[in-house]
This record gives sequence, C-alpha cells and structure tokens, in this order.
Amino acid sequence: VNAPGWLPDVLAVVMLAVAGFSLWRLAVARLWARVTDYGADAMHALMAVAVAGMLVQWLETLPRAVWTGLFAASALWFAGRLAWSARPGQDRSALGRHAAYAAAGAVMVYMFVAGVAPSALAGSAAGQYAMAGVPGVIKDSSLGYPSLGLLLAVVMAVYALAVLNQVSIAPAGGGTGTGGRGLPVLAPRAVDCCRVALAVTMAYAILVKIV
Amino acid sequence: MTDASLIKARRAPRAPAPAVAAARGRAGGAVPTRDPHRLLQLALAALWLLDGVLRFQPSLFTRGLAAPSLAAGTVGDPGWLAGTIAWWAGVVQSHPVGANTGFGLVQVALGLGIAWRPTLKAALGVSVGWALAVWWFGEGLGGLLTGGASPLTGAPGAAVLYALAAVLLWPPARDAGPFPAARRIGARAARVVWSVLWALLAYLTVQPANTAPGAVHDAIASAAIGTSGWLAALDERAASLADGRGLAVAVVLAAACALIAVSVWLPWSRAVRAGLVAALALAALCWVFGQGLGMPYPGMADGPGAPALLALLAAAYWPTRVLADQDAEAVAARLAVRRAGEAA
Repeated sequence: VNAPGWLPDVLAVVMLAVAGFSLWRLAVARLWARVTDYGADAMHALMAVAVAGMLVQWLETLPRAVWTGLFAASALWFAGRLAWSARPGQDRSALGRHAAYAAAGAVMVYMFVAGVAPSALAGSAAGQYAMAGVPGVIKDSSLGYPSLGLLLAVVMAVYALAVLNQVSIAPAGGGTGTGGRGLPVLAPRAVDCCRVALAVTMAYAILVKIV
Repeated sequence: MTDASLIKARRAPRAPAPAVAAARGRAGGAVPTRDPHRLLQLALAALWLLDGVLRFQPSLFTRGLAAPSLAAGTVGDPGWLAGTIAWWAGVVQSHPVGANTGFGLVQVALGLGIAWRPTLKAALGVSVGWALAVWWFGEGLGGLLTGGASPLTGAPGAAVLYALAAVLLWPPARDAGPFPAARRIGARAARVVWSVLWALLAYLTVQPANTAPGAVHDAIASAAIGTSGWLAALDERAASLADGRGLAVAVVLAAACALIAVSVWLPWSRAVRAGLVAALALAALCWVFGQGLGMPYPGMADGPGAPALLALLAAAYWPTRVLADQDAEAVAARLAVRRAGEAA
C-alpha cells in the first residue's frame, strides 16, 4: 500500500518553496539591511529541504547521518539560546520561539533516526482493491518507535494551529511590527505560514510511515 | 508568535528588553490567549486537522476504503438508511482517490479555519454540516439504529460529537459562564445536552447485543488486531479478562455513564469535577481498549475517534475561573474575618 505519487510530490514542492522563501529572506536581510532572525530563517530552510528529501525519491540531499548531526546541533543551539534568554535581565519574549525551534530540531532528529524516508515501494495502490491489515498486502510501515511518532505528529499539528491562532490575533499590519531603525520586518505572516506548512508536512511524513 | 518578537537587530543598536516588549505588545504578540473557550476551539481544530492528515494515509486511497467501512456499516441499519449509505459507498468506490483527497482537504481546511480567527464562525458552521453528513453517510448514524452500537466501539459516532462540539464552542454570547460550554447556549441547556448524551451512552451499553457474555471480549479483541506491540498486548490481556463477563462489564459501564450524566447538575463543584474526571477516564478506557487509539497502526484510522471528542466535551464542562474566583473571594472574606478577630 502506497500513497498516490502526486501527493508527496506536491508536498515536496511546497517544502522547496518554503526553503526558497527562507533563503530569499536571508539574502534580502543581508543585502538591503532589513532585520530578521537569521537562525530561524536558516532553520526553516534546512528543515524544509530535509523534509522534502524525506518525502520523494527524486530529491537526493545530504546523507541521513549528516542531517541528524545538523539538527541535533541546531536543537542544542536553540536550547542554548533558550537558556540564555531565560537569564535575569534578558529579553524573555523569545523564550517560546527558542523552545519551539529546539523542539523542532529534536523532532527532525527523531524523524531521521526512526526512518522517515521516501517510500521504497514501486508504484501506488491508490484506487485499487487493497487494504492495510489484509494478508498479502505489503505495507510501507518502516517507522521506528511508532508510538513516539504518533505523539510527535499530534504535537506538530497542535503547534501549527497555535501559530495560526497567534498570528490571526495580531492587528492588521501590526504583525509586522518594526525593528532596528524602523525598518519593517520581512513578511512575518508569510513566515508563520511557512511554520504551519512545515509542521503539517512533518506530521504527515510521520503518520504516513506509521501505517 | 509574530516576527516583531523575532527580531535580531542588524546594523542597529540592540534594543533594550523593555522596548522590545513594548514593540511586541504593539504588534499584538501580548494579546491574551488563555481564554478556555478559545483553547477548546483550538483543541477542536487540532482534532479536525489530525482527522484530515490521517485521511492522506496510503490505505485510505484504495477501494478498500469504501467497501469495508461504508458498505459494512449498513448491516443492521433500516432500509432507508442503508440505501443512502450504499449509494454513497458506490460513489466513493468509483472515485476513491478523488473522494479521499476531497475529504482530507476539507477536514484540513476546517482545522485551519477554526484556528484562523477571521474564519472561525464560517469554519465552525461548515463543520456542523460536514460532520452531520459524515455521520449519516459515513458512520450510518453511529450504528444507533442497529441495536449493536456501544460506547466501547465508538457510539454515538465521532462525527455527531464534532457537530455538537462546534455548537457548544461557537463564539460565546456571554463574557463568562460557569463552564465554557455554557457561554453560548446557557448553563441549563448545556447541562441538558450533557445529560442526554451520557444517558444515551448508558442506554446503549445495556442493549442485548452489548450484554452478551462475549460482547466486550470481542469488541476489545477486534481493536487489538494489527496494533502496535504494547497496545496489542494490553488489549489482548483486557479481552481475556472480559471474556464471559459481558453483562457485568456492561452494567458497570452503564452505571458509570448514568452517574456522569447527572454529575453536572450537582451543586458541589468537587462532585462536578469528579464526574468530569470519570468521563475523561471512561473515554480513555474506550479509546485504548475499545478502539485501539483510533487504530492508527493498521493504517485504518480516519480520525482520533469518538472518545477524543468525549474528552473534549468533558473539558468544555470543566468549571471555569468564575467559580474559582467566587471561591477565592469566599476564602479571602474568611481570612479577613479571621485576621480581624486576631487583631481584636
């Protein structure tokens, strides 16, 4: 049993768009002296490329061990920023965001360790008479620690909705705020949409390997 | 979380923490979001989103989607209901990929729409209609007319509970209420809804099909098929314990449901909370032992299942801070009297 081929393709393209947008933000911030959080944008770009590589065969990225090390390091780095922000006298407004990115790094490590990867089955059973659980039907259920995966998928879905809720209560135009010398921050609602897309796609990538 | 709080100033002096906090406040990042009513709406959104994402599992794109889950659902249903379900099963079987993609997209959109405040009412409204349609065509009215529906196996159906939750969690007409579910339709009406729901579950539990000696065993054993190792072991153990004790288990379950039904009318907040905790525990038991956590492991989960909705509804009846504040005022008054007495 395998998903229709177009589904992971579409999601992978969305992820590549997220990665491209994040890289564009980094470039614009550098060239035009706009303000942004370099760590967050870099994390978005890395996560999006990695998740796309987990969905489709045609996108060969870095070896899994390299990705695992990269996300373990990023999780530690954001955990360090979290600890730094929690110190007395520091700006505590970023605590939640740092915690979220540290957790996202940990989830990515889980996904690589547990074996979230493009389906190894040829073709798709979509539209045919086949069903999981029936003898003779091959399932693509290669995920390790499936119960943890189920829990993390729920966490990612809840995170996506929390982001969406938070951004929808910001007043119109106010979500952009101002930074530095009064320069507008780069399209923050688009960044939040990227977070939502990333979280939902990660939840999908985990769930599809549990069955 | 907005990017106003995501700023790391570049080529500019670092803003002091109070200024950042003030900017964050202007940007709306400090808007309070702890309203229990809103949190419950978000929980409902999460269930819809998970429902939608689970729809994209590979096995649900096969023609097997329609045959076992829809057509088999007509067994025992009256002809007028079975006919409509069979018609819908035929439609889905003809276009399994398109139908399942449509179902998934609608449910993902409902989850995102409830979370996005400007579309909250529209999404809740659509969710009521969608859920009732799914309840009819997809769940055969939860099997209520078959005589074999049991809370252990998901009665009265997750879909109708989605609709009920959407109504109870509609943006409130009142600023406050004794519990979140009362803020739209009032406390009395909300309590009536709760009591009717749990009385129905008690009634279903003692139906002849559910009190047979092997009824509970069979329900639990079927949930264990294809599940993860630890869950299968747990379910198999529970099934062996329940074997031959269908009537006893059903009576205990029915009594618990009846107590939960009346608990919200009790004048003591602790008793109300105890009833709600019992409802949560019962929902958890049904979820684990009767439904295998919604059966995600065999790839047959098309949603978290009715127990998750029952838990959400129980949370919607949890006494809110209005009661807590009253209690706090009473405690403060007693303390003031005591201190006055000590001073005298």
